[in-house]
Amino acid sequence: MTRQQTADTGSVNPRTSGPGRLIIALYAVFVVGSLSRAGFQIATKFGEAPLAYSLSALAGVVYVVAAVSLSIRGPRAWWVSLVAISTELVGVLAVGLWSVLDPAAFPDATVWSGFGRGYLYVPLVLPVLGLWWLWRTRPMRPRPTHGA
Amino acid sequence: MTALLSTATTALQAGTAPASTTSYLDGWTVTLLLTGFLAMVVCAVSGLNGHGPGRVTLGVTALLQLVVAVVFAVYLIRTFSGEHPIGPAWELWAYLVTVLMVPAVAWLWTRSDTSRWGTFVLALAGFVVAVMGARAAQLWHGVGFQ
Repeated sequence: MTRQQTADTGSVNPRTSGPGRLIIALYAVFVVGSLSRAGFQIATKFGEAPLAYSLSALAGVVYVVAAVSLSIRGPRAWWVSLVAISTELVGVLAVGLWSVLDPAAFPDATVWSGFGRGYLYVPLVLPVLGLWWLWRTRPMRPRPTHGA
Repeated sequence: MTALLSTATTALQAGTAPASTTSYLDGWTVTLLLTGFLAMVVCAVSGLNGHGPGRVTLGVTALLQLVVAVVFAVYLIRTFSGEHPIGPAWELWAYLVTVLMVPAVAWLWTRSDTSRWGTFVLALAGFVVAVMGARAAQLWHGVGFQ
């Protein structure tokens, strides 16, 4: 009851409540997974598959930006999320296609190779979910005016 | 339970034998998988019914945390008794440390969201623990490293 009232007065961030909660949780899982993997691979065996490991690190950074910007209120953070999640969608499609057409370029897998096959295709579904959620919470939505 | 324990003991004695595709399913891994999927199903059903996190869903998450802690301890004991994973050790421990934290973090997170979406986060935690726990077992037994 109290929660609903605070939501009405706008003191609850709409992007971190409801489904946004679950989407940010999914991003958090991928932040931990991709950053720890990429960090270790680059630190110990970068020479074995420089392209794959660089792309893994890039994916990790994109996931961090998406997770952080999704949990910050305001239109500026919304636009940062839009850019990050669009980059993520383009990345998983481009790297997915590239890894299928030219497997020799990827001696070790990235999060995005094979369209995220090694991660149950969550990397492919996540940006679509994220964009849907951004659309649902877009800041420029025309609102009916409630008096003053 | 006795059967599970004896399977785990057999697995302990067998050590790091060559692995077929399902040989990573030792007693503790099966226990972890079943608890993870149980937590996922219970929490998903509760969330679909519109319930926020409650006694049953938080209880099953607490059970999951307990099982995860025991599995973590089993890997620690095996490591200290001189055994090694066939896959990369850093990757095994990255998964295990993550899995150890997931139920607790999910539980803490439900404190700021008492809606059904908090329950779905608990369901996600169950799924993540099951998948990452299975992956850790595959690394230990060397599935895919032959």
